Amino acid sequence: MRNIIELRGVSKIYQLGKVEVKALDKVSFSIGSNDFISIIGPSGSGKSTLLDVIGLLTKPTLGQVFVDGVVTTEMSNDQMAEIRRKKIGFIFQTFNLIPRLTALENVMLPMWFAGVPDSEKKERGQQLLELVGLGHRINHKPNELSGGERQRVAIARALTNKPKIILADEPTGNIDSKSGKQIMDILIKLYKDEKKTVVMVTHDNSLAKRARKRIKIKDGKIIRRAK
Amino acid sequence: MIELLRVALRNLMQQRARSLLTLLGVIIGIAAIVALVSVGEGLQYAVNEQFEKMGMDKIMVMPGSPDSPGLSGMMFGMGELTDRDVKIIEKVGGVEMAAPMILESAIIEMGRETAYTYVAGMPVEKKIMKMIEDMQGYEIRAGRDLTESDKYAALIGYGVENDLFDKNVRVRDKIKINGRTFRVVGVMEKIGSRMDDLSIIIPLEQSKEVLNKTDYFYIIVDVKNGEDVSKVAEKIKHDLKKDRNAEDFNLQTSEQLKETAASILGIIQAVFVGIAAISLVVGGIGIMNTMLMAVMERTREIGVMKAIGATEKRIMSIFLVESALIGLLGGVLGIALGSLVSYGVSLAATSYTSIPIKTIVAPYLVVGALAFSMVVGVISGAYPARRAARMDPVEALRWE
Ligand SMILES: Nc1ncnc2c1ncn2[C@@H]1O[C@H](COP(=O)(O)OP(=O)(O)OP(=O)(O)O)[C@@H](O)[C@H]1O
Ligand SMILES: [Mg+2]
Repeated sequence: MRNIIELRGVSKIYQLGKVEVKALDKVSFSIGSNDFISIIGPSGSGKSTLLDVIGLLTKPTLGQVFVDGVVTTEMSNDQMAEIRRKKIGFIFQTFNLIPRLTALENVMLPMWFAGVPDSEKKERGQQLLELVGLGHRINHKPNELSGGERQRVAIARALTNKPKIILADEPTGNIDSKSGKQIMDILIKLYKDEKKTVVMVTHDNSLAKRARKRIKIKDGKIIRRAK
Repeated sequence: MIELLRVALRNLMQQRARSLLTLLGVIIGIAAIVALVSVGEGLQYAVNEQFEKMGMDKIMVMPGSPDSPGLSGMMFGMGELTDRDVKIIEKVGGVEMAAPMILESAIIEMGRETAYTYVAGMPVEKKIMKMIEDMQGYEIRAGRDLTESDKYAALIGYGVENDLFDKNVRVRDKIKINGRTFRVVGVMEKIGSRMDDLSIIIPLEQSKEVLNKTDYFYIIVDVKNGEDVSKVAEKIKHDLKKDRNAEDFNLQTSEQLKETAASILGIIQAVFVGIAAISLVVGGIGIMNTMLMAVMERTREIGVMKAIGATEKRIMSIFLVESALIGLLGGVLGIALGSLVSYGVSLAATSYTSIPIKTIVAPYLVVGALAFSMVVGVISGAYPARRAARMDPVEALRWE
């Protein structure tokens, strides 16, 4: 199985005055294509930072990140943006939908950045919203949707440019457990049916167990890997 | 690009009140520029027209020193211009004719009513009357012009006819000027300047009598065709100075008058535009402030857009188009408002002042104002947009 993500000795150090905060401390691991990894660990252990580094939202202080076999250390901001646009879909705990835009428009946004033609944008956006079970809500604004529905819109948005990698930071953290199950089911479907690579941060052990692999992290270090 | 415009418009509509206020700043700035420039141009046009009428072959001789007209007259006793000076001027080679004028306010009576207005005494020789008519641009509407045989006869302006007394003054009516009875022989067409319209013209000899004056307000010199006006002016100056033993008079060719007027207008124009430009700068600061606020408010959104793959250029253009749109919209509305104001000024000027100004909003002004407003929008938006584009995505996403 080819590695789609590989981290080699990655550290992320924040300088707070004279104090160094090691959000990540020499983390090395790799993720094969079509895999489902869950990351658990206490608050402040560096889970979100790990996802940010994998998702090329920030560069590590030390070490190297490979995405799809390409080293990203020397890349410019716009080169990283291009990889995010083409290969990575983000799902956030707080959904992060744009409040002024309808569900459909939110889903169409990444396609705008990718220069997809208008008619295709609309069609694909509708398809994706139907896929997450929101075909009847396409013209609703985020504040007219429930938390679970919002997160499903966010998932549809993450899928628009057909990324190979889905990064989800506590995707069920802000929604009730029933909706959370739905979200989880969709993520598992993406891994199993769509052959995506899913990396999910969670606090919930029972959800974490549904992933194919678990990584436990504490103080910026991986302390356990489990199948 | 259309998508960008739609997005920008939508973002602006979201903060309607704030966008409108920002817009207002630009509108005022642009309107001020458009109004002031067009009024200035109208003024220039009006003045040029006035000189056109006057003709470029005239020389005005006025009492008072050329260095400080008015002041020296008050301090050292004004050099008076009299018939002696007219004779000297007439003898200078190249002079076609010299027309002295008296101007003074006087008490006018008609029936039981009394009013004050200007009385002008003019030579009634036919060719002089003709020259002055051409210069002032007046025409006889009713009755007839003054002729050489007229003595206590008066030509009245439109304002004298209609506004001075309760009853309209008509041809053949009798009016008293400083107690002497004059017969109205003619009424002039409306000239458009308040002072001209409120004037009464009487023969020069009679004006000396009723106004009790022997010196002239000014002497208009007409230069013969083909003569060099400035050379003739030099000669007049030389001869008058020799005779009077002092340069206590002031002499200007129409060319000089025109230049003086043009340079004064130029300064006024520059000051106007300067003030207007400052107000536009303030408008620009308003745009910058609004955009900085928008960037801050939408920090998280910027983080999201970056996470889903927007390049820095794209983020930058989203905000730049927004601020350019404020500029452009402000430009369009400002031009409309400015044109309206300048039209109002022209109306007011025509009815309340002595200069009928036709304001002109020239095409170049419209295009220039539009371009300028957009440039202001882009420049004021540049820094906020750069800030948005350079934002660190992780920090932006964690922004509370
Ligand atoms: N911009 C920053 N400046 C300084 N320290 C930071 C910054 N961002 C994160 N940290 C620190 O890095 C560490 C890891 O943060 P991170 O957000 O990755 O934790 P987490 O595991 O996601 O926690 P949580 O479960 O609460 O979301 C924390 O100690 C945090 O205080
Ligand atoms: Mg976190």
